[in-house]
Amino acid sequence: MGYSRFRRYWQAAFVRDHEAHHGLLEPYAEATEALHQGSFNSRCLQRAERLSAQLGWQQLEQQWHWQRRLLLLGFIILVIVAGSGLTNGLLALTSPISLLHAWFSLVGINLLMLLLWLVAMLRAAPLPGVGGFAIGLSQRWRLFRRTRAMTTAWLQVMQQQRLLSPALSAMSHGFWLALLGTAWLLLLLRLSAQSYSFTWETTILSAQQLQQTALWLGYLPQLMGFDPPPLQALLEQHSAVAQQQAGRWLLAVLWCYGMAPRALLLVIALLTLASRYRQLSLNDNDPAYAAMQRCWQQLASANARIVDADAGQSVAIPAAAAVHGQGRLVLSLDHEPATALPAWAADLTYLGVIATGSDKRRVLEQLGQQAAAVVVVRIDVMLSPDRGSIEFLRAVQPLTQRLLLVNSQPEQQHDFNARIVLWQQALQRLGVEFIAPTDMIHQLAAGASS
Amino acid sequence: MSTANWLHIAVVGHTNAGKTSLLRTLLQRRDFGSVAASPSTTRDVVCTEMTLTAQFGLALYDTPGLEQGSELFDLLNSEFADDSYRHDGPKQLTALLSSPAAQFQFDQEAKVIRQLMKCDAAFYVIDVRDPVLPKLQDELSLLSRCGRPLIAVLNFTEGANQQLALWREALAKVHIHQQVSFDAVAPPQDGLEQLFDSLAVVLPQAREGLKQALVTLQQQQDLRRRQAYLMVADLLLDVAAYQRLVVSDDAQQVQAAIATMQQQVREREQATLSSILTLYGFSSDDAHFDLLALAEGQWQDDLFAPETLKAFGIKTGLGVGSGAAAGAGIDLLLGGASLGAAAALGATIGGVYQGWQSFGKRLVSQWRGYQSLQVQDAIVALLMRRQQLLVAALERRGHAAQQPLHLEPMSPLRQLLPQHHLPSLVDQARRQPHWSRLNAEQWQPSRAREQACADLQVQLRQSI
Repeated sequence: MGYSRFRRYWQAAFVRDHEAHHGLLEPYAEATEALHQGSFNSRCLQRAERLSAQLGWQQLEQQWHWQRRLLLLGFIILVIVAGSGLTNGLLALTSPISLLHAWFSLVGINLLMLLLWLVAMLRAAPLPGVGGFAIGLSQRWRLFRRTRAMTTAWLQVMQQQRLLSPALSAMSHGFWLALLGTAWLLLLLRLSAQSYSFTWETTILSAQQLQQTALWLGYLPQLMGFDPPPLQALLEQHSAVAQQQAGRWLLAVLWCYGMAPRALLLVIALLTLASRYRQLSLNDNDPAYAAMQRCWQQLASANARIVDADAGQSVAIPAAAAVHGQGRLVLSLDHEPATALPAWAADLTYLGVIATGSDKRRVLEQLGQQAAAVVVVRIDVMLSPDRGSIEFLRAVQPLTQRLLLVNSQPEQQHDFNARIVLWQQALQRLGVEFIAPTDMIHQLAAGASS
Repeated sequence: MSTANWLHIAVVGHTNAGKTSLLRTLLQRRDFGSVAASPSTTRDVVCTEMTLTAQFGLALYDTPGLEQGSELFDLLNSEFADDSYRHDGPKQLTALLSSPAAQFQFDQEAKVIRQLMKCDAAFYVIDVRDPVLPKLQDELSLLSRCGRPLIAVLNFTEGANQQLALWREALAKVHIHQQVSFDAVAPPQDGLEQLFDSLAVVLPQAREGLKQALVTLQQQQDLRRRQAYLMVADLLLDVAAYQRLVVSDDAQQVQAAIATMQQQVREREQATLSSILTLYGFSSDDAHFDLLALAEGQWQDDLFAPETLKAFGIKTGLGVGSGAAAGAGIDLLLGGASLGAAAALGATIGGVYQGWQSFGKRLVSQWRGYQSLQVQDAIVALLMRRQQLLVAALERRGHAAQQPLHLEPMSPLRQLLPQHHLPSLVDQARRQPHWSRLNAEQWQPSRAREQACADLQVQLRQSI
């Protein structure tokens, strides 16, 4: 359960990295089936699961695990070799073995490494300890090259979810615990099965200083009931009880200063890891996820619904022109931007600006009494050809022999050409001519001769 | 989610006034409805929801354009002039809606009136480039009889030939005093605030909800800006930390490596452009860096063209590449020498270990006959400026815009861009090749990079 949950986040990071390099595997909008399924987190993970399969995730994952097992095996061998080396190295010394020397051999290096680890943690070093070494190894080793992208994605998830630090700590402490455990077991076996003699030896310390040092070094084991072997008894080298006590004390030292702190730190690291594991969530601030979230939010809100549908577009049917007509008229529809009418309109009767319903009715009534030979309508092409205007032109059409439309606006305006096209399309449906102002004189002359 | 407290707002107006455009910008959705220059583009009443807080939102109704306002107004005054309607506009309009004229001749107008009477208020959208025509005034009189508050939204205020003063006067004459200038293509920074304030005036019961909604929207906007600059910071770190090792006396290899680097940086910039566009609710085709005319009469917007740098006011200065890398936007670093001072400084302040790691690796590479290629500072600066320009432009762009956004170097927005040099974090990235995703072999996510990215984002945001 825990792994499979983590695995989904890992897949998301893997896909995210791939897409950052090679572009989107599929547009965010394509994941439409996932849009209404759960939170952004789960939808994103679903997408990643599907897409990671395309990238050969399963095969790579198997390989990744195989490589991790190989690495683990290497570390186990290292642990056994180093652990037994620690004990064997100590017990191979010429007898009697100095207890001070034994103390530093068994736990000194561990305490030093622990201190270094602590400094690295406090300084927030990128990949501290044995765990960091293992990751560095897996990133650089040629054998691991094929799964490098997976390791990077893994590292990214671990980092973003604040899992890396406890995981690396757990790896470091686990390694040292296993190493010291091996050493302790071997020491126990060797001390149980063979006879060794120990002594307190020093060159520069006085007897009193040595005794004091022995007390300090044996402080923790003493709390557990393992007193340091008495100085005098060992110096005389006769007391079998003292030798026994020395052996047991060494085992206690290794436990107290080596294994116990590592075990404690391992438990703390694992508990931290477990608690952060439970809080796994996608990082909304990650640019890739932010863009995806935005895109999905938009799609999810695309629930536009029709609440009042169109019953069907009404089509203006063109009417036949009048057979006879008299007089040439000009009018401005809706408004007249020019202060004076152009020269071609001088011989025409101007009906004024026809803007309201009553204006339109008046014109239609006038034409109804006497159809015109030509009606020129000046329009502002920058206005939309709305139904009201088109209906009026349709009503004028049978009341004149010729209906001409001309633009009244300056032509150098933004969008002018697009607007003209709209009017032309609307007028084409009515069968009405749209005339350029420059052609108007010829058109009017043609209208007069006909 | 309960929508009991939601406001229902109709968006009404003359045909082609920009009702759907206004909704696109409000909803920040390029794909909402259909926008065209031709009239009668919207023929149905379409409802869409704008969730603002957990309990509050707007149900916005896009309505067909009014096209026969004058004729309907005349009909109302002639056929429905009963004395009982004199002081009861809604009753008069209800009678009109049940007439045959409303079903046939004025079916579009009937839909608008019907919807408005069901809503709490309406945005009456006006194309202020249009003159104040009697037919438009008739529409206003007609709508004001619906008994619902109308807020005039003055659209296209950024365009030429606007008749804003005349419109304000005309609106006042029909007692519409709630007027908001809101250009759907280039909305004002406080446009939404003005709209919400106007709504709060006419619908005081929704004041609290609108206030909270504004706070939420502001937070969302801040978050979006932060995320956008995070994307830019990510890009800059990737490019600044990008390095390739080459055998320095092999000109062919150097040229090939430079071409690869240039291409990868271009692709990386394009990926950032797309992500930022998506973040702001636009598609990848909605913006491009404007083409620059080169001396030969060719047009291009190449990141690595010297003209591009010049156009963005970036001086390349001395030490621009050397040997085979000259003029390519890539620096061929002479082993430890060119980075020596930086590495030494970094080692002192940033930690001996990291400084040595970078410096030491360079020395080893140099010893082995390799040299390092890096993208020039000028190119990184250009990337920074272009992306900052993009974000600034998108923040001021409405989703109703039909034309792609041209990010031209001479844009007035350029004044917003900082004149100072690259942030120091970019310099820091130079010494961290593992910070760049473009260095596929060395890329390694780290807390330090994440922090640098977050810090750089803050610097970029504050500098504009």
